[in-house]
Amino acid sequence: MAAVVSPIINYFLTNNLCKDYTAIEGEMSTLVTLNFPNTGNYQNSYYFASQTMLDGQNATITAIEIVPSTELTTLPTGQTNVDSSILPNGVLYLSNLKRQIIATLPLYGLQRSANNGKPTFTYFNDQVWQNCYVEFTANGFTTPTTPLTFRVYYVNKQKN
Amino acid sequence: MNNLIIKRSQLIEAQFTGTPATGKKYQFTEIPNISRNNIVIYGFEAFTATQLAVTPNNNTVVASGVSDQLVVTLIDNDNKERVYQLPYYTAIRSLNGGFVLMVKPFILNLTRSYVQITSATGISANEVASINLYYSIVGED
Repeated sequence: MAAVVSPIINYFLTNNLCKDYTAIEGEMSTLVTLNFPNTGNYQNSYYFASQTMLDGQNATITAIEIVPSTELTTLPTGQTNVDSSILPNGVLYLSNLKRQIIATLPLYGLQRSANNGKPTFTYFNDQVWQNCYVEFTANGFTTPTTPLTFRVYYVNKQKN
Repeated sequence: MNNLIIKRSQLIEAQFTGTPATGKKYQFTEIPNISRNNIVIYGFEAFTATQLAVTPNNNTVVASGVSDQLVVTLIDNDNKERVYQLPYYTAIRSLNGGFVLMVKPFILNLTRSYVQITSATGISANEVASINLYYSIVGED
């Protein structure tokens, strides 16, 4: 039986403002780590390393989630993953080539496990990955040598 | 079931300056980039200290225990109360199955929109109610 779609949900679907939360599976994704210097502190901006395949020129970012140690204890690099207790103290900033802020996303809300298994959907098209950064807003940031780990879902853009 | 797609987002906050008072309207702090009736919001999410301890403006966010003591009113560019006295709790994503609250898109008048306290117990002076707006810019897809 076909599902009944309300006019407002139909508007959201046709305007790319929402999608089925199971639709993320099958998109391309990559694990990105953000390492901190030993002198890391709060209210400083920590930028991602350049990763041009995640730039808006090459890809649309369709979801972002943070991977805490409860979901992945040790990273593929052998490093210990970040403890989720520091996540309420941080915010992820997405930024474009002109360094305009596209989105401000508190880290806690990016955990899939904190949201009943639902990822955070995005539609970022003009981001520059090396201009994106994390800032800790409170002094709960006590393990600066432990990297933050993100899972970024993306769709490649067709090139002529 | 569907969930919201974030195109743009911005953290906003309403600060409880002075002694928190029941019923008083605490307007959202002006953010020049989005305070000119120039954004169309289609969803939003509220935070307590469990999700965000301190805002980027260095203000302490209200404790999770008081999330049932606040209501949010969002006003559009015609001064209509498009979301009137919505319980703050309802907009906290992690308490609502991971779903982001979606609204019929409207142009937001940020600085007329406000948060009200329904009971001041447990709310301290200068704490903030913090909300993430999900929006697009007027005239932009």
